[in-house]
Amino acid sequence: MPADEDPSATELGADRFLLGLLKKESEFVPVYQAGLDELVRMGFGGLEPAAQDAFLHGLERGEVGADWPVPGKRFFALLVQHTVEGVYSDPGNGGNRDGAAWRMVGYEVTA
Amino acid sequence: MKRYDAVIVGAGAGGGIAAMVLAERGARVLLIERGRWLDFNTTGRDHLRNHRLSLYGHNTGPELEGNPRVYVSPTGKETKVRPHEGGWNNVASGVGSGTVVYGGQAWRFHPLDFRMASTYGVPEGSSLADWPISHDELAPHYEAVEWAVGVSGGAAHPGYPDRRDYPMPAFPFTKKGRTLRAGAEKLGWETRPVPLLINSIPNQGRDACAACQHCVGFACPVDAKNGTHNTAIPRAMATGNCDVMTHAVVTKVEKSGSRVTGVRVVVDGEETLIEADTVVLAASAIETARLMLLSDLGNEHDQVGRNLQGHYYAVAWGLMPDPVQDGVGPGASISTTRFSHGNEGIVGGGMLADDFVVLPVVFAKWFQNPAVPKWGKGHKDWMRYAYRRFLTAMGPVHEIPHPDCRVTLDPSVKDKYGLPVARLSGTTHPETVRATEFMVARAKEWLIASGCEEVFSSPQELHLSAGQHQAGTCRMGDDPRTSVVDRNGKVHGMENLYVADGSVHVTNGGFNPVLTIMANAHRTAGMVGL
Repeated sequence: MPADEDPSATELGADRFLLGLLKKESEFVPVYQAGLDELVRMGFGGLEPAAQDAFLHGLERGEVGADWPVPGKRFFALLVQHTVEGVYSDPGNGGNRDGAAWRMVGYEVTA
Repeated sequence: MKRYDAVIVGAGAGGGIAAMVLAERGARVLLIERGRWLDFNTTGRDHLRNHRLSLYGHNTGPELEGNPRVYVSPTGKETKVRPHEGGWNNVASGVGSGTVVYGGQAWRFHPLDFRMASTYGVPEGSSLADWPISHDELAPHYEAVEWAVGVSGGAAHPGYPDRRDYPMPAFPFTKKGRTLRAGAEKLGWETRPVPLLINSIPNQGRDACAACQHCVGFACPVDAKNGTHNTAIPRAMATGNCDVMTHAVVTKVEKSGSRVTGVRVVVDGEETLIEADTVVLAASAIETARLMLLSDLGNEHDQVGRNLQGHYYAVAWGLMPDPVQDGVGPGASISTTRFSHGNEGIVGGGMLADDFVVLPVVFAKWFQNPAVPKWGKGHKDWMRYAYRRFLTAMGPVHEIPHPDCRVTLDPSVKDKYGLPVARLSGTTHPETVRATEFMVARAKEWLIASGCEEVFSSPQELHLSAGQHQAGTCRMGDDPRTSVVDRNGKVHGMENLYVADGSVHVTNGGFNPVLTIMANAHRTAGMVGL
């Protein structure tokens, strides 16, 4: 989730959410470890944004990463799932800083 | 050794009402609950660990470790599951149980809900049957619990001319409720407010609803949601006749011939025997059946644990051109019972209503539009557009019971007390799926008439259904060969053992079942011999 007039997923704290989650739910750790290792190996961080997007679409569809130690499609689906959980759940879970994602969608806690 | 006139196992909807009735009749009552007292401060507002979305835990009980069940999928795959995982089919454990965290829809069953077999015939392979009692026999007990626990609903339904109005006025329609009312008017469908076990005005010394955004799945921040934890159980305790024992797990009901003599209960690892003149089981459909099987009670005809059922939900949602979500809780405000029965070619039908306020994370996960990206800017644009514009119509559908959808004792997996755990297997009957598909189509029709530009639903398939509406496992009936308890809730062949929870439901109605559980418990507890 990139930044625009509203914050990005990482600005909202989805990364902190994920680190907190992995401490408690350790079965996800090997999936992230394997997926991130592959992203580093293929130089994902150095790609242009459009190329990064294209690569992630490939992961989502299973067109790339099928031969990774943990299939890239599974890694990416988990990353998407956890990003959504980190961004939109309550700030007590570590993401959704100051409830900014709730303001963004129009959810207000009044009582 | 402790001795009580009546020991009740489980302090939920049924057990709480039974405790109130028995204690007020003068009996010395012990209400045993495996969970703790639940309140707002100790259940919290974790959007990922609650009874609407329990991804990594839940906000009640039982504890995640040491209390597994075995879930057998329709293809026969066995999975050992923990209490927050879907296959476990959790009803919150704790004083009040699900009545602390429910949305509190307070429906009576329709008179024909008690006569499903007579009305429709028995579909091949199903165990569909009539209840041995009628709506009229339950009506005074419905009314008693509507007033004792507290329902907001306004004027009585015009279809029931003899009944009293609800004790509190109905909640006003929300913006989405008004939108759906306009759609129903176009279709010529009658609508009603959703009756809710929530205070629309101050009641019984507690506040009115604060219209917050965390109703279903959470405890109430202002104690305006009415369950047995803040009505029936305190009333039972106020008589001086009722003790409540929490963190206590009943491992066995003891018997001698045709009488039960007491229960074995474990607290802090110590097991004690408590003697009782009467035992009332109200541990929910899965655990009541498990305890009966563990205690070798009432199962001469292999009926205990069969006919496990809950509710399939017909759910449709759509997108309105302009925002309709005003965020005013509880949120479920409008309903139609037009399709409860009388649907050509369908066995049963169901009720449709709008939803409670939906958490953003729940919307993002459950209300996905296949045409919209799940990530990136496209996802963000979607959430900003759709969260305020989505509209739902949904409701529980009559389940057609199957005798092989059942609770048994698992042959190998044990809980932390060393007892075989509940094994859940089988599926509902295919007629349930057909009725659900029919009701999904009605829900879409309603949304389109209300102005939705696009409507969505998920495909229906055959699966085991239990969940928070679990029922059916100790069926009520006159014939001991095809039922477990008699028409008064007493276990066949036993003189002093009763069941007072959803287990006794022959069928589970086309409505949320909690008011029927309470009414039945009220009726049964009034008939227990003291």
